[in-house]
Amino acid sequence: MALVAERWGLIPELQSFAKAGKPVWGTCAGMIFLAESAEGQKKGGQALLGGLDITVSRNFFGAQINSFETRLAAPECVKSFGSTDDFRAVFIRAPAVLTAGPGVEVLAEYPLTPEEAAAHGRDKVIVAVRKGVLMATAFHPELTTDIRWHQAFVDMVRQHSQQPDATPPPLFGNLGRLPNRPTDLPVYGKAHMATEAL
Amino acid sequence: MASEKGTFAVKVGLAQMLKGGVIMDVTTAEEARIAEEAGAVAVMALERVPADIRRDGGVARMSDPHMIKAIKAAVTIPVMAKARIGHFVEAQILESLGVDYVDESEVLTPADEIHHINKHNFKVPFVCGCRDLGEALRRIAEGAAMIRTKGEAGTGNVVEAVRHCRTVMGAVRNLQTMDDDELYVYAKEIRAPVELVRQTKHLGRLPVVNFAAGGVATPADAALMMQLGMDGVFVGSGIFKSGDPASRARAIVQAVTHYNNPQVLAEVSANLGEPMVGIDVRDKNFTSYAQRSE
Repeated sequence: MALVAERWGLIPELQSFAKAGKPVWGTCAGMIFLAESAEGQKKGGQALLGGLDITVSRNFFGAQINSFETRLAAPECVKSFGSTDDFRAVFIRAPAVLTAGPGVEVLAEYPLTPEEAAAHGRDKVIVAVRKGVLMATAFHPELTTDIRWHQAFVDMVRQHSQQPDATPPPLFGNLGRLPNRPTDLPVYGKAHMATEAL
Repeated sequence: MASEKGTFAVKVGLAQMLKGGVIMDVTTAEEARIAEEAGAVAVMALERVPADIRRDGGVARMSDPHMIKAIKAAVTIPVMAKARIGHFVEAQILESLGVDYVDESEVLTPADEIHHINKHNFKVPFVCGCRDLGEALRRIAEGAAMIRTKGEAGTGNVVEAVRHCRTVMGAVRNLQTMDDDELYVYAKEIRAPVELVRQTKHLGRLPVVNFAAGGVATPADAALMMQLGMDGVFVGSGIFKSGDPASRARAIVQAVTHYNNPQVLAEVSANLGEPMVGIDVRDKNFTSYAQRSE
């Protein structure tokens, strides 16, 4: 991701976007991108946008066989958009936040299993943070039908643009469907291959 | 709340993160590093690329675990590896090595000519090849979380990948014009579970990520597969059997990113040196790998 961004001159563009104080949300690899420092990088390192004062560990949970899903306690900003106190979190070769600097708001934490705790010498890791208009999540809200994280981000954008009451423009019927491209994939539920009801 | 590993959502999710990317066959840690620096989204670790398997003949099997471990240690991107069709013990070994995806591949000599691996029994996700919609949905029913065209690996000839892609995409388009009442007989005809047929009709696409594979050798080939509607591209022998692998690998990555931009494609296609030598699939001595399973 960083290589392609670098090759096409996207890094300075994205950096100036974030530096101008515009809202940015990174999930998974996007969280790494927003971090000031990352452990476990490839040989030669990678470009980071930075901006969020956190240290992340790339691929903290290991190979794909350790990828998992769980339910985590939702922060206030997410809870306020629904009736449940937790949310479905899908982690795919995910990073984790090892340390967060002062002023970084911790939105969600993941309690490590006993084996993970023994391997890492800690009993929990941070998996969602926010500072100002920069938000980062180690899990993938875009892979579930729960849109409360998206609503929290939109809310952040509204507050930022000082139009807290603005209604978003109407969505196009074919949102997410590019011409001549197949539609999006189904959202799979936890049951064996069953899709999650919308 | 206990966490759960290897759910179908997690398996399909990794493939979704690879969409719009290139997965490259590599045989050594050095090649894996070249692929990573070129911008590959994942590498396929194997002892011999398909072109060499064709040349050498004999039985092609799972790679040496030592080699797979060396490649895993060299890169941070996902590492895939191939198991023979139906050889669930090779798949168990690959899972225990911590590979990120298993390719149950017709490029290796099949271990079972009737049954594929029951992929639901594994935490590691699987990618499988197909030539048509029925074959794709049978693999998904067995638990495959990602599909690729079979094409004809090791030929440097994109014709079969195009055929399989057009066959699947065309069948999905036809399916969308059908009445729901007609799906039972259609499912019987293509020998696929009716539930998956119905899901495919309503989605207007395969219910998992679908990559092109088997004969992609140039940036133009890769962009062709993308314009035909594939989610990404596997490049097997095409890179490390060419004159200048690093440049070609980089060019194919850029071609997949900018598949709809002929100016960029022209730019990245220049000065890549010799492509791999191609094989005509109509030659009477040609051995098809795609026809090894259904």
